[in-house]
Amino acid sequence: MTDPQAISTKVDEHQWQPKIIAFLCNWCSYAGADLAGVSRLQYPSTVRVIRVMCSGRMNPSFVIRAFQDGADGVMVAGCHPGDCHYIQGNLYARRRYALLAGVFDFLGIERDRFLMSWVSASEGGRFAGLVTELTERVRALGPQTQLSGRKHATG
Amino acid sequence: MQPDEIKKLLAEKLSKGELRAVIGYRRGTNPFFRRPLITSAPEEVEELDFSPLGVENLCNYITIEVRKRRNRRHDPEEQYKPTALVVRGCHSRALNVLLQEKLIPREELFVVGLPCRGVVDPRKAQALWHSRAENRDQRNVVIDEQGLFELKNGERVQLAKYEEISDQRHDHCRTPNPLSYDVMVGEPVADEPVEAEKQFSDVEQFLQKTPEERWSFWSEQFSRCIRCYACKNICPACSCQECSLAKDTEQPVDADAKVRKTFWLSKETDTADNASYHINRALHLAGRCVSCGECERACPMGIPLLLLYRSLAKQVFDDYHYEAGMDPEAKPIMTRFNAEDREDFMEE
Repeated sequence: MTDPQAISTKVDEHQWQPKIIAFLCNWCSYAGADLAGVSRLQYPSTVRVIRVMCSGRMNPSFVIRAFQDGADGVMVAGCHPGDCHYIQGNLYARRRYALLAGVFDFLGIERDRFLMSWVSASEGGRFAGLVTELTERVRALGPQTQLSGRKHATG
Repeated sequence: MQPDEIKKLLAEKLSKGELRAVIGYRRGTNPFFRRPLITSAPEEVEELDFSPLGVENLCNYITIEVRKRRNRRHDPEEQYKPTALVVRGCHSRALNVLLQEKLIPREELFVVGLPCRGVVDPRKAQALWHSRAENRDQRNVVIDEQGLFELKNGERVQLAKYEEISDQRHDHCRTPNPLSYDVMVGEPVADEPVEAEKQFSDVEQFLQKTPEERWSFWSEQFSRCIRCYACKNICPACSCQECSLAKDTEQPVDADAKVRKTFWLSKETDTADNASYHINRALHLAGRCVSCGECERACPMGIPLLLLYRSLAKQVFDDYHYEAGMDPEAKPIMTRFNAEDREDFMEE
């Protein structure tokens, strides 16, 4: 209790928590996140979930817009290849996000803030793991200022 | 065919009513610049100019022309006629992109191919002429594929070699000759094009920098952008009638609802908004940009846009083995997929 290091960490956590936007597909990843909740798995409360009907519905602009509006990390998850409810939506998405990741890399935008993965409806643990990992990565990087236009971290 | 024969042919076709119009280059108001010639008068065809100073990509005029014609398609007076268009190698790739996307029908085109050893950068030539010429009479300027000359008592005096006034953007050209044409001006260029594997040396060189250096470079570039949308308006691949990135009126979807149309970007020109604009535009051009360099020429702030778009062309080439506009029959790259597409950017 009296360890100054422990107290300062706690204060820091009060000051800044990463905001993570997760775009989850309705049929697999959202159900996966639901399973993580139902199974009472512990994962950071930094994530805000937005449900989309398919990862192929996602426009890369959504990710850029999320960063612009102050997200510190963005996650996109869809069904595993072959499991897509719309047969192939996730395969189109894969190409788009490969390019987006490449552009981020080329421009020198912190690539670690963006995570894409496949999460099936039965992979609650995997979803919790991904959120934990992205949160840790973003926490190490600090607040996102490149695309949000913020000069300093806000609450 | 020789230039004179082509002018005669086009004039003849125009007077017979076989062509709607001719789109090419004509002399500008000074000897360094060419401007577009758009005419349906046979006598004006004589003004066509095939020199390496005609740099503009004229494909946009075709898109506009075809769109106008489609709007008039219920008019019984309206007849289908092709339009003649002068294209260089990279412009013919842009035409292929438009043909792939079914924006223009091939039968409405009469393509006049122009073999190209690279074009002149008119601004460079003008600056060199100002610093080196003895006589400031612009009537004495001659520019051709040998270089920049001044006429002195009827004799040509060389002021600059061709390499000094040529446009560096064409050093990575893959198609010196037009890919498809109905008639060709002169003889095809025999030079070997740049090898496919070596065409992105500029992007590779830029990628040598660290991510921090790259971002400080690009954030500086984006901060200068005034969002005039010249790059979008000049781009042959940016063929949407309404651009999702450049809407300037805010209209409620219905009067009562608070829901408004989606606006991706604000009108503000801060670095973050500008960066979003350019990232979005670059993504829209993935597998469609043919590196003709019009965006950079149109940019009033001198932002190296081509480097950004070429980084995506490089990705598309490396990952999906595709080059934009090489084949008018190919399906655009982002409208298809492979089961084995790369996943290394994803989380295991």
